[in-house]
Formats: sequence, structure tokens, C-alpha cells
Amino acid sequence: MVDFSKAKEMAPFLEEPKAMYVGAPGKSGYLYLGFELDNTGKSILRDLDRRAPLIVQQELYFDEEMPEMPCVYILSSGGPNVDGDRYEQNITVREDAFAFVSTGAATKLASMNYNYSGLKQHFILEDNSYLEFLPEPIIPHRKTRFISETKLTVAETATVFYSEIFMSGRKHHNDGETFEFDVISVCTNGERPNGDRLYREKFIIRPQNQNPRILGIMDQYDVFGNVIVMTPPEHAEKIYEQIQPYIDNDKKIAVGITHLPNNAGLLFKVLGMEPGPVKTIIREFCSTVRQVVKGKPVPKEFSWR
Amino acid sequence: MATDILSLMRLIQFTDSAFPVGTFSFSNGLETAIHEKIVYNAATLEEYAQSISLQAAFSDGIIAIHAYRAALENNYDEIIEADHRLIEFKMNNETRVMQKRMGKKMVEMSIKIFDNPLLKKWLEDINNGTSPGTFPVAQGLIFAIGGMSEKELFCSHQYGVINMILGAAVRTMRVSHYDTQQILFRLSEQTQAYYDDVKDLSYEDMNSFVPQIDIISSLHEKGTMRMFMN
Repeated sequence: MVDFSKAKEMAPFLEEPKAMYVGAPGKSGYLYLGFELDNTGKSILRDLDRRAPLIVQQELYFDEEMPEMPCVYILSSGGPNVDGDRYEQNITVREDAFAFVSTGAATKLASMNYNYSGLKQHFILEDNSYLEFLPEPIIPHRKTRFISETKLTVAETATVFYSEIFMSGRKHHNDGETFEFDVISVCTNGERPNGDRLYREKFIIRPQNQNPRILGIMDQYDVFGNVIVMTPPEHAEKIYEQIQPYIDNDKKIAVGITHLPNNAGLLFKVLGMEPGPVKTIIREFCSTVRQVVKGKPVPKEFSWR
Repeated sequence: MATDILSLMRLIQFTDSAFPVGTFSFSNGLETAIHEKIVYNAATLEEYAQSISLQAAFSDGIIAIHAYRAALENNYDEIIEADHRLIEFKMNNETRVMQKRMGKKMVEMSIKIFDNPLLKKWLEDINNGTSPGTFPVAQGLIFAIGGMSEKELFCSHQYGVINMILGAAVRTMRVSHYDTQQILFRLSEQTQAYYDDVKDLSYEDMNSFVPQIDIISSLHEKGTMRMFMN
């Protein structure tokens, strides 16, 4: 059930859209992906359930460094997220299985007049499982409203690399369109399979209430990348040792890393001016994580991505 | 009116930077921000302090209010819950360390000043690892026990956050006492609005968006240049 009725920040945006109503067919996307090892020990996409506009066709094995890893792109036949869209995405990686999931293109959040667009996600990582989730950036258009809530239920022996990249807007559209959206609310919380809470990160950006351009928030930066790595403490320490945070005022890139609460893993943040360099830094970080956990690097990104 | 006077005296005592909870040891990453030339004058210092006070209002402020109300209702389980909720929400390691050190120190100091069974019980639970012992929860309990109002608690919380940064600033950068007092004077004007915004918010409503400060904290956490503990 995609229900955001408790999110007070969306309360001003509850009018029924004049076009298709909230939850109408084609506006209520659903996706369930279940990865597991088959009886030969191969990691496969065992379960696939989907409802338009979300589309997943089948797993591919295109990772040159880990050809045994199923790779899946999530697509949306609806184009951008529009007024009143509600999506639900659930991914389970069963014991010892592993997978890579991304999106086929950037997620555009269209301008909205009545309601908002919402996404609920639940990732379940069973013992010794491994998931890389590296979607393309989210691009909010002027006057958009978006909320997402993600739960990561992760076994103590499993690893999940969960990344998100947010643009400040359509930076190069006409004269530029940055921080002209109404609200973006993003919440990610981690727990163990027994329900023990580990952390809860929530940020709400409402440019009309608080200018994100001030020092400490986004300052001069236009792109924000956020990565949560839930992994056992011994892996977390090895990864943490290898990452050096920095602020490069010439290239206008800033990178930081810290430990999540309750030994849940690591939190990695990137600020930049364009999505390309931010994506590259996140991919390099993913490579460090993969080398520590799986002993293999992440290959170079395809030139068309 | 005598009660009001006493309440104000208590407010000043427990808010004063001279109250020894170790505030002077922390700067919220300010020296790294100065080193990176992000904060370099009174105007940039003010923006930095504003961002810190904003995120604190929507996290520490909410927790302090919940702990305060739980203490008034003698709801001990809720006090422990508020304490854990704050730790789960504090994403930076150094911030968690700061919260725990200052919280425990505040309780230890307060027990020396006035005997209270609730504070003693909570300190036992901090020491045995049942409760993290964060500073906003300590503030909430002490203000409830000390007969101060919820608004006074919120003022103390915001004043403490802003003053911690300004206190560090006069020791680390070229900024005058005139500048810092003007900044404090101006930032105090937003406290009423922050209180109105957060007073009815739940744990689930806590939010924080200060990515540049998060990265600065991370540089401080792994850096070799340290004048402050955070």
C-alpha cells in the first residue's frame, strides 16, 4: 500500500488531479524482483512481478568483472513521474545471491499542479547476499512534488549499496531551472530482519521555505549524491580506511564518508556541479565496496550511459 | 512571580556556556570549514550557524521536547525511546559522540546539584548501555524536573547550538565579539518560528538536510587537523 498520509510535508498537495485520478491504471506502478541462487549455484532473477508503468524485462549478465551477476534495468513506460503517480518497488535478494539494479534513464519529475508523486521501496537482503543499486539521477522540474520512503531490511552478513543522485532541477533548461520545485522529501531507514531499528535518514527540501543555496546546505553545488552501504563492520572498516573525504574548490566537488549508527555500515555523500562527475565518484566508491566484499572491481561504465 | 524568577534563574544557569558540559570542546566542524575557506568572515559564519541551528531544531529540538513531555508524564520508557531515536537519526559519527559526551556530563553535573531519582535511574541506564545518554534528552529531563517551561527548553537548546559555534569562532577565525553578538541577536529572531514548526512533530518527522556540513564533519572525522572534538 503506497500511503503517505502521515507525511505532513505533503499535506498541502492532496487535491485530486484533474486528469487521471490518484492510483488510476498506469499511474500506480508496482515492481517485485526476487533474486536467488538456482540449483547450480547461479544467481538468477527468480521472481518478477510488475505493473505499468514500471517495466523490467529480464536479467542480463553484462558485467565484465562479475559475469556471474544478474543485472537488471528498471524502466518506466510513462516517461516522467506525473501528478498523482504512486510507485512501489520491492527487491529481495535471498541467501548467498547477488545482483545489480539500475534504471534505464534519469527519473524526471514533471511539474505538478494538484497532487504529488510518491515512491515506496522495500529491499530485503538475506544472509550473505549482495546488492548494488545504482539508479540514474532524479531530475525535479519546476513546481514538482516528490516523496520517497525506502526501507532496507538487511541481515548482519549481507551487503547493500544503495545510491541516489538528486539534481537541483533542469539546470540547462532555458535560462536554468534550479531549486524551483515545491518539495522533495526522502526517507531511508535501515533495520535487521528481526525488526531492530538501526538508523533513519530523512531530508525535506522546500526551497520556498528555506533557501538551499546557503552555506552548509547546497551552497553553490547543483547535484547531491547520497549512498548508504549496509555491510558487516569488518567490511565497513576496510572500506572506510580506503576512502579519503575531500573538498576540491577548483573542480567544485566535495566527498564525505562516515559510519552509520548502530554499526549498520557507512554513509557516503557527494556534492558536485554536474551529474557526470558525481556518478563517476559513486561508481568508483561502489568499486571499492565490491572489491572489499566480492574481491572484484566494478567495470568502467558503458560509454552511452 | 517568584516562581517565574526562579525558573528564569534556572534557565540562565543551565544554558550558560559556563555550565560545564564541555560545549567549548566542540565546534560542529567549524575549524574544518575555516580551513577549507568555506567560512572566512562574519557573513559566512552566520550562514554556517544558521544551517546548524536549522537542522538542530528539526532533530535535537524535537527530541528535547519529547523527552521533556515524557519526563512530566513520568513516562520512563518514552525517555529511553527518545534517546534511541536521536542516535538512530544522527548520521555523523562525531555528532553522536558529541551528543553522548555532553548528555552524560549534563546529567552527572545536575545530579551533583540536585538529587533526583529519575536522573539517577537514567544515569545508571546510560552507564549500563541501555540508553545512549544524548544531550537533548538530558536537557529535556532537567528542564522538566527543574520546573522550566517547554519554550524555555527550546530557547536553551537553540541558544546552546548557536553559541557553541560562535564561541568556537572567536577562538579560531578573524571575527570580533561585536560580529558574533550581532549574529546571535539576528539568529535568535528565528527561534519562535522554529518552535512553532517543530512543537507538534513526531519522531518520524525529524529531518535534516545539510550535505555540505555533513561532508565538512567527515573531513574533520578523518582529518589530522583538530582543535575541537567535533
